[in-house]
This record gives sequence, C-alpha cells and structure tokens, in this order.
Amino acid sequence: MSESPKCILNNKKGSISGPDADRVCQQGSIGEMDSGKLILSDVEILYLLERDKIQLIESGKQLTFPELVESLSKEDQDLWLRFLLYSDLRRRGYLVKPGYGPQLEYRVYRRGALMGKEPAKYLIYGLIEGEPIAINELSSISSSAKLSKKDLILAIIDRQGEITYYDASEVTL
Amino acid sequence: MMPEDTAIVASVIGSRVLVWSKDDGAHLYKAGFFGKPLNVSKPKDETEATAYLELSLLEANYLLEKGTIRVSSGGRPIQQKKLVSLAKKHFKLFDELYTVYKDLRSKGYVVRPAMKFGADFAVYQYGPGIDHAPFIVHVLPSSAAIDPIEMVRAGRLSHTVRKKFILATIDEGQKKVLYYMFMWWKA
Repeated sequence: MSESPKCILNNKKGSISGPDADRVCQQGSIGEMDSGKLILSDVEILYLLERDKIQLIESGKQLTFPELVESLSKEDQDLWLRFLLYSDLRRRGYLVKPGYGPQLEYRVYRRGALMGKEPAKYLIYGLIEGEPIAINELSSISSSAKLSKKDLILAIIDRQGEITYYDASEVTL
Repeated sequence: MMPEDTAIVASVIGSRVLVWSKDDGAHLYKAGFFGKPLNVSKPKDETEATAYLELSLLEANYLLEKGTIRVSSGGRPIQQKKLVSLAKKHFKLFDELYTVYKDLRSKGYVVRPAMKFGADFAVYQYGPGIDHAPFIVHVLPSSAAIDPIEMVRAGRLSHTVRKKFILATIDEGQKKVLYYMFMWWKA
C-alpha cells in the first residue's frame, strides 16, 4: 500500500499535494482543489482510507481507518453516521458534496453529472432511527431545498446502518 | 351564501349529522360526494344515493359554513360555534383536520374519510368510483414531530394501497396548509 498517495491530516482536513492531488480529485471525484492541493473533508478522508486509496499521515505518523474514526468521533457523535450516508451514496454512484448545514446533510448530483457544469439535483438529509424530526424542522429544510431548486430526499438510517431513501417534496395541490 | 330557507335541513344525532330528506341527501351526495347514504356502500347513481344521508362533523361544519345546510339539535337550530365545539369533542385535532379539509374542498377536490387506507383523508379529483387513485392525506399539527419509522410505514402503506401519500401540516405563520408527498426513492 506504500504506492497510495499520501494525505496529510491537519485539523480534521486532509490535503494531498503534487501530481497525486489532481489524480485523486479526478479519479475519485472527491475533495476541492485549492492552489494545487486537494483538500478533503473528514468523511472524504474516511471513504478513501477505508478503500485503501490513500495513506493518512498526521504529525509524521501513519493513521489507520479505525484510529481516525475513534479520534474524530470524540468530538462528533454523528461522524460515523455521516460517513455511512456519504459512502452509501458514493457506492450507489453519486457525486456527493457537503450540504449547507452542520447536520447530516449532503448535496448530491444526478448520475453522470459533469462537475462544475451543473448544480446538485438533490438535497439529502439524514434521519436516524428513533430520533423524530419536528415538523417545523422538516418545513425549513424543505424550503431551503426548494429555494436552491433541489429535490429533498430523506435518508433514514436504521440501527445497523441500513439506509432507506424517501423523496419528500413539498407539493402544491 | 344561500338564503336560509333553501338550505337543506340536517340534524345532529350524537356525533353524526343526519339529513332525513332522502332527496336532499341524494342531492348533497351527488353535488360533491358529501356524506354516506345509509346502507349503500358505493352508490352508483342518484337512485341508489336516495337514502338517509350521514354527514361527518367535518362535512356538516363545512356545509353549514357555506350555507348549504342548516343544522338543528333536538329540534332546535344550532349555530356554527356550537357545531364546532361539538366536533372538537369528537376530534382531538379538529382545527387542523378542518383547515386541511376546507383547503382541499376549496380547491375543488372531493375529500372523503380514509380510515380504510389508514389515513385521515382520501382525496379525489372527481370522486370515488370515478378516479381510482386518490391521494391519501395524513394531517399533523405543526407542533408535532415525525418518527422516521412513521415515514417508512407511510411509504410502505402508500405502496401497498397504490396511492400517493401526502402529509399535511399547517404553517401557522403564513396561515396556509403545506403538503409533502412521500415517495420511496430508488437511490
């Protein structure tokens, strides 16, 4: 695995430099390029790390997937669920970008979308088994989806990480 | 509003409102699929609908508000206020149900009970027996919260009965009804 691109972890963000940056970005449709470096979010690092696509280095030391999950989860109880939702969508072939809020939320592009050429088609909002969502919360995410012209999809994550998706569009009767 | 003397006479019997004139009953049923003709489960024409007509308290309030009927209780005429308070005794969520009922009726839909589909309303564009794919509407107060399992259940249910499932709630700020349609999304 020593061939895998090196990703440097710093303050919950990963960065890949050099020729690897562009390659990972293009092949993986992942992260954001910033002055020649590829910047990855926490779930993006986890996704690549779990699939052995990168090696992760923090302060000169190599970190494993379990180590990273353990350490990030200390401050973010929903990290694992954010990761599950992100990888489920990726495995289904979607391009996934962060949502607008700090919640379990992602912007998702239609399959085959050209990055940078069109906006995301869906706003995916994660709900956790056993945790009710207030109607006014639903109204507010629904209107933010409507404002940004996206379909609201609710992703219901069960107690073992199984995810069922529901389209929950506001309709005019 | 119709002049009072042309209004159809209806009578409160417990938690229901009855129209004793069978012709008036048939007229109401035909005019907008209001009520349920006694002992006729699916009236095919006016002759079959010529029966005592049982109105729900939602329907009776709506028709009273429009001046289509007048309502008496124990032989004495009663006002809307009284009929509303009677309805509230029987429906915990009367205000919400009635707001949604009126909103849908005012848009020209035929709104029927949907107990058999496990929801509050079955909403038809033309009427039961004419269109077979009504929406089923479940009403929730704006203060409510939905458990994700309810959504899955609703989604499963609508799939089973092959109806579109809609959640209705009232936006207290904008004083309007919001409708959300839930459909399984094949990711």
